Parts: sequence; structure tokens; C-alpha cells
Amino acid sequence: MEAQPRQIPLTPDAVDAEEASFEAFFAAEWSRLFRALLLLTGSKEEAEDVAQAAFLTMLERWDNLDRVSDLQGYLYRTALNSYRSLYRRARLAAKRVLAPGRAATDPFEQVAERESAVRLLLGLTTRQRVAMVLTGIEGFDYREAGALLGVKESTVRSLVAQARAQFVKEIHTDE
Amino acid sequence: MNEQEILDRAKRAAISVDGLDQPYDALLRRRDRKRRNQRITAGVVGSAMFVAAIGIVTSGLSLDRSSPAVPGSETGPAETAPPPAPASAAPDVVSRGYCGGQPGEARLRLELTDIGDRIRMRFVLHGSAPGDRWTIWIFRHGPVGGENLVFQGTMVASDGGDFVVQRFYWDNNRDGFRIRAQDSVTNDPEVRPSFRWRTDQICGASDWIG
Repeated sequence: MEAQPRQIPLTPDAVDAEEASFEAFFAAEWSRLFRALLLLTGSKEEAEDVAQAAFLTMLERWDNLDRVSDLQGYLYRTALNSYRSLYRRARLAAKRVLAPGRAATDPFEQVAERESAVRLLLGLTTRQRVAMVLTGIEGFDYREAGALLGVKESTVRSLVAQARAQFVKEIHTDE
Repeated sequence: MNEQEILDRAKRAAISVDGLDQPYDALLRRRDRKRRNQRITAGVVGSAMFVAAIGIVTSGLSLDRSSPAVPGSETGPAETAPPPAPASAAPDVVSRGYCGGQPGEARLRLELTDIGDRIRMRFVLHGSAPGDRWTIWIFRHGPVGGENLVFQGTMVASDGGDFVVQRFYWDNNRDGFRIRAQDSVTNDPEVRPSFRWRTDQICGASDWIG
């Protein structure tokens, strides 16, 4: 099935830099970013940590961001950079694979253990998962996702295609 | 289960997880913690740099010093007789002392003159601000690298003093002297601990006369 990325404006009215306060921006964006990071990290604690770090970076620069037209893109780029740094430092990607019998203490890990769809998503490589979450769940198109990830649009397409192939492979294996 | 179903179920699973109760308040608390940690870090780094700077300056000052004073049996007040040589007599040895080395700071000068079995010693402290009170220590180099205190006194913004001391010929028929002057107002131990002394208000000079 060919996913049709939903076109969304990168500068929604709700986060107009000239009108909205940071708190309003935070209220408009927190849940969505947190959800995306949940699916990327597979951990509630890490998702909160990365999301807070990204918003904190923006809060500290808020006075200087009035010339940034794409606040939402800036937020996601900041969060994805934090996420990549986190994994580069600690090489936590391997730990995110849910090992059989492992006691899950994080609330989202418990959900992931029950929900096979989450397990499939977390079984992708980090780059594939980011591309799939941004385009397939959060509604960014390939160009926007490429801008957020700092890669070409064609690279995002390739990563999404690889993720789909992995899904198909896993589904057939389960059957 | 197809791809879209996988994504929808994963999204619903993510939505089902409760986030922070008051995420904005949590963010503000995190900002406050970060600021506090930055202030603490800045304070620690600043203190370390201050201590390092004092250490560097102090070690530079100590280059012209010998080992610390070891008061011995020879310690005592300076001998004052016979009278000093005439002021017009040129000293045999002149040693410029080190204070802070900056314009406007005090400068110390030590003059030694051989007058037979005695040494005429004169020190001059230039550039001392009016009202400054200086504590002066004069040491004679002694055996085994030690020093004997031959004078200690306080001077209030005057130019200097004259002393005559007996020769001892400690080292190859030479006698060595060291003078230390410390502004006892800015470096009052009761007001300012020694590790915070203003080292530009501590002067030292030393030399030998044969």
C-alpha cells in the first residue's frame, strides 16, 4: 500500500511566532512531539527527556526566534538532533530491542510488549523508524521529513520503502 | 495486518500512554535546575581560576626568595652602631625588588655597602601610597640554606630605613640578605586570609655582598 503523506503547513496558525507566546506554542506542540518521540525511542522516560530538552532549547532562544518562520520544523530538528546525540552517546539502540522475558518497567515498553505493531516499528533501524514515524504517523511529506532529518527527499523515500519491506517481511514471518 | 494498520495501531498505542501531568511546569522546573547548575559550575570554575591565578603570581614572587625564615640564636634587633656611612657613599650592591611590576605600584630597592666588619644595609620603598602601613622583615642568609631574622618592624609610608649589621661571612666570605615588605593594611591577616593576599602589595629583594 502506498502511503499518501498528509500535507500540513510547517507554520500552523497556532504557533505564529509573532502572536503566540511560548506557552501557547508548547501547549500546541507538546503532545504531538512526545508521541512521535515515544515511537522513536520506545521509552516514555526518554521521550519526555528528549522532548523537554528540545523545548528548553527553544525557550532559551525564544526571544531570538522571531525571525524563524518554521517554528515547528525548528522544534523537530532540535528534538531529532537530541535524539540522535542520545543514541550516539549511549548506543542505546540495541537496548531498545525488546528482549523476550525482559521485565519492562517503562510504561511505553509495557504497551510495546502487548502491541505487536509497536514491536514491528521498534524493530526497524533508527533511520527507517524516524522516516516512517514522521511520514506515516505524523503526516510530514517526504520533503519536510528530509528537511527535518537533514537528508534528501529521495533518501526519505528510500528509508520508508525499506521500512515497508521490513514490515511485509515480518508480517509474512508471523503468518 | 497491513502497513497502515501497523502505523495506526502504533499511533493509538502511543496516544494511550499518559505523559507528564503538568508538562509545562516540568519544563520550567528543568530550566530552573539547569540555570542553578550553570551558576554553580560558573562559581566553581571562577574560584578555580582565581586560585590558579594567585598561585601563578605567588610562585613568580617567590623566585627571588630563599627558604623560609628560621629564627636562630643570631636573631635579634639590628645593630645600630657604629653610625651608618655617609649617605653620599655609593652602595656596593644594589638590588631592585619585585612587587607587582605594574605602573603606580610600590617598588623596593635594597642597597648593601661594605664598611669593614659590618654591612650597611639600606632599603627604599618607592611609590607607597600615603597611609600605607608596611611590615618589614630583613633576613640574613645563614648556614645550610637557612635564614635568620635580623629585623622586623612596621613602617608607615616612609621611604625606607638604614641598618648596620655585623658581618658573618657565611658563604665564601660573602653575606646574603633578603628583605620582604608587605602592606599590612591590604594584607591584614585578620581581615584577609593569606590565600587571598594581594600579592602586588608584597615586595621582595635579596642579594649578596662579598
